[in-house]
Amino acid sequence: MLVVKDLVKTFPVRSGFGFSGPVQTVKALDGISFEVARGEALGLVGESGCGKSTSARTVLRLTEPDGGAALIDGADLFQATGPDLRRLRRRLQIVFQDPYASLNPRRRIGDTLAEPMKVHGIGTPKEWPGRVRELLAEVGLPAEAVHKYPHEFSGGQRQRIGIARALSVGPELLFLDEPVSALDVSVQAQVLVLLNRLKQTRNLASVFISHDLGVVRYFCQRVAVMYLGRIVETAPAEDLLDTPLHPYTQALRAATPTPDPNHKVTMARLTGDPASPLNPPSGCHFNPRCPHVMERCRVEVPALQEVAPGRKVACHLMDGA
Amino acid sequence: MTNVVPLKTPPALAVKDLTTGLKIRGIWHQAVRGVSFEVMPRETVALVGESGCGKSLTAMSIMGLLPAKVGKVLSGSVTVDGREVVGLPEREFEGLRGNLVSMIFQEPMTSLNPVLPVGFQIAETLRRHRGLDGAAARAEVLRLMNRVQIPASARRIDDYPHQFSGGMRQRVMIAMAVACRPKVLLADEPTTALDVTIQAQVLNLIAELQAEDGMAVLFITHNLGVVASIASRVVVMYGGDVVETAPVDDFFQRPSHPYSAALLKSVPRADRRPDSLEPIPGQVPTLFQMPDGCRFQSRCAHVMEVCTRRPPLLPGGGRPDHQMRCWLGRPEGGL
Repeated sequence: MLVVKDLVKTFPVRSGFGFSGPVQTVKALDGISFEVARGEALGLVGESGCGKSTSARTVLRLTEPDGGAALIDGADLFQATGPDLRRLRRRLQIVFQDPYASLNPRRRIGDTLAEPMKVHGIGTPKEWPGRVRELLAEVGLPAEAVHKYPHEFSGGQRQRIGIARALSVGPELLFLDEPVSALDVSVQAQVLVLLNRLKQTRNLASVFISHDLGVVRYFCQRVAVMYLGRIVETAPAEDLLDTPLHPYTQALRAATPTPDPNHKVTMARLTGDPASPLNPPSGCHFNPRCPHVMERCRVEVPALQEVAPGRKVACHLMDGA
Repeated sequence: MTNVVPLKTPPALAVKDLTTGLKIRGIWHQAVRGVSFEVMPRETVALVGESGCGKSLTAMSIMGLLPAKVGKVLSGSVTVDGREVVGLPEREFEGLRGNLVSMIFQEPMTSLNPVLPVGFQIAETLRRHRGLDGAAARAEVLRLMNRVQIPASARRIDDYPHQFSGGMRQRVMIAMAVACRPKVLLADEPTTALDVTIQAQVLNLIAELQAEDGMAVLFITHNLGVVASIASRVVVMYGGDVVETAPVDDFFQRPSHPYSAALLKSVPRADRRPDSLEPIPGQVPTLFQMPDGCRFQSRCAHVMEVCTRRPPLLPGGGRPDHQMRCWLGRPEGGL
C-alpha cells in the first residue's frame, strides 16, 4: 500500500564558529526505496545517523523531501496539497521513541487523544469522549487516565498513550520510531505484545525503526538495513538474521549480543566508527570498514539488486557469486 | 590428573550485607538490602536488573559517591583490595577513587568537562595520584590514548570532548579510569548509549585492558546479551535485593528465580525464531509500595502465602555456587 521511491533528503550544514562558515550539504537519504504491504511490518535497522528516522519524517512530510515519491495506493503524498494532503496523512501516523517529549505536559490525556480527531474532523465533539475511552481500553489503560497528565504515568504507560493518539484517526500504517528503546526489558515486552495485537486486530501495516535486531525479529516480516543514507540489504526477517549477506549486516548481526554464553558477540569485527555523513566515502559507503573491500568498492556504488526471491543486496561481492 | 588445590586469592572487591538507605520525603527507605558479592582479580561480574533495582546505587555506595544527606550506607561492609571503605572520611576516599577503584558511566559527555581538552582531563588523574606533570604527564596521556586505541592520538590530545564520537568519548573515559591501574573498575552501563558495532569494540577494549592489568570488573547492565558475552558470574537484583547469583553458564541454562526466568523470556532474541514473548505483568513497585517479604511477590506467577516472609538465599540451579532468594519448592518456608 505504501511505495517509497528514490527518496532523497539533504540538509544544509554550516560549520565554523557561530555557524558562520560555508554551507555544506549532508545527504541524509541517498535515494532509498521500499514498499510496505497492507498489514505488513517492515523493519528499518541501522546505526545512529544512518537515516532511518529521517526516512519516516520525510515520508510523512514532517520535513520536506528533496526528491523521490511516496505513494499511498498510487496517490503521491509529495504532490498532494491542502485537503488532499490531510486525507492522505490521516492514513499514516507516527509513534516516537520518547513518549515524554512527544506529549504536552500541560494537557490532560483525554484532550491529547481527542485533538487529532478534532484536527481531522472525525466524528462530532459528542462522540469524542466515547472514542477516547475505547482507545484507552484498546491500549490497556484505565478509563480514569482521561483526566490525568503525562507525568502521572510510567514510561510504558506513556508509550501506550502515544500509540492511542496515533490510532485515534484510524490509520492504516504506523511509523514506529524506536517505540520500545527507552523502556525496561519487562515493560518493552508488554508494549511489543500490545503492538503485535494491534497489528493483527486492525490489520495495521508498519515501518518499525529500531537498532535492536531481536525486537525487529519479533515484530517484523521483512527488514531493510540502512548504512549512511542508503539501503544495503533487504530480506525476509528470518533470512536476514540467520544468513545475512551484506558484510555490514553480517557485522551488525555478529555484534548483537544474545543471551547465550556459548555465542558471545564477535568482538572487533568492525574497526573504526561509521564515516561521517558530511564526507561519505566514495563508492560503497561501507568500504573503509569492510573486511572484504576490493578496488571496485572505492569507486563504484553497488546497486541494490535481487540475489534471491525477496532478497536484495547492494554489494559488489554478489556479482558472479 | 594431579590433585591441585588452588590457593585462595583474596577478592579485589568484596561487598558484604550492604544496606543503603535513601531518604525520600523525610523517611529513610532501604533501597539496597543486604547485598553481598565478591569480584576476584581478572574476573567480570555482571550486576543485572531493571531501572530502580538498586544496581547503580550499589555502585555509588562502593565508590562513596552517594548523594549527601539523602543517601547513606546504613550497614554492611565494602572492601577494595582488602581495605574497608565504608565510613572512610571523604579526604581518604579521594586518595582511592581513580587510583584503587575507578568508575565509568553510561553517558561520557556528561562526565567530561566540555570546556577542557581531553588530554588535560586524562592528565588530571595522573597529576593527582601519580604526581606526574608537564612533559611526563603528556607522554603518559599519549600512551594511555594509544592504549585505549584512539586513532591519531598525538593530533587529538588537545581536542575537546564534542569533537569526539560517542565511542571515542567512552574510550577517553576508560583512559582516565585505567590511568592509575586500578584494582577494581566499576562500569555502569558503559555501552548502553552506543551502537552495537561500537559496543562490541568497547567491550573488547575493556576485556583487553583487564587481561593486561588484572583488574576486577563489576559490569552493571540491563542487557542480558551483554552479560552472556562478558561475565563469568551474574548477580541479579530486584527491588534492592539480590534475587539470584550464579556462574554465567548455569544462570542461562537454569535461571531459577521466577524474576530471572521471566526476564529471560521477555527478551526478544536476534538468534532465534520468535516464540511468543511473555512479558512480566505490572511494573516495579516504587520504594513506598515495596511489599514486605519477597519484593517480586506482586508480579510473580508462583506467589504463595509464605512469600510475605523475606526468603533467604537458597540453593538454586544445578551448582552449589548458584543461589536464589525464593521460597519456590519450599512452600512451608522450611530450609
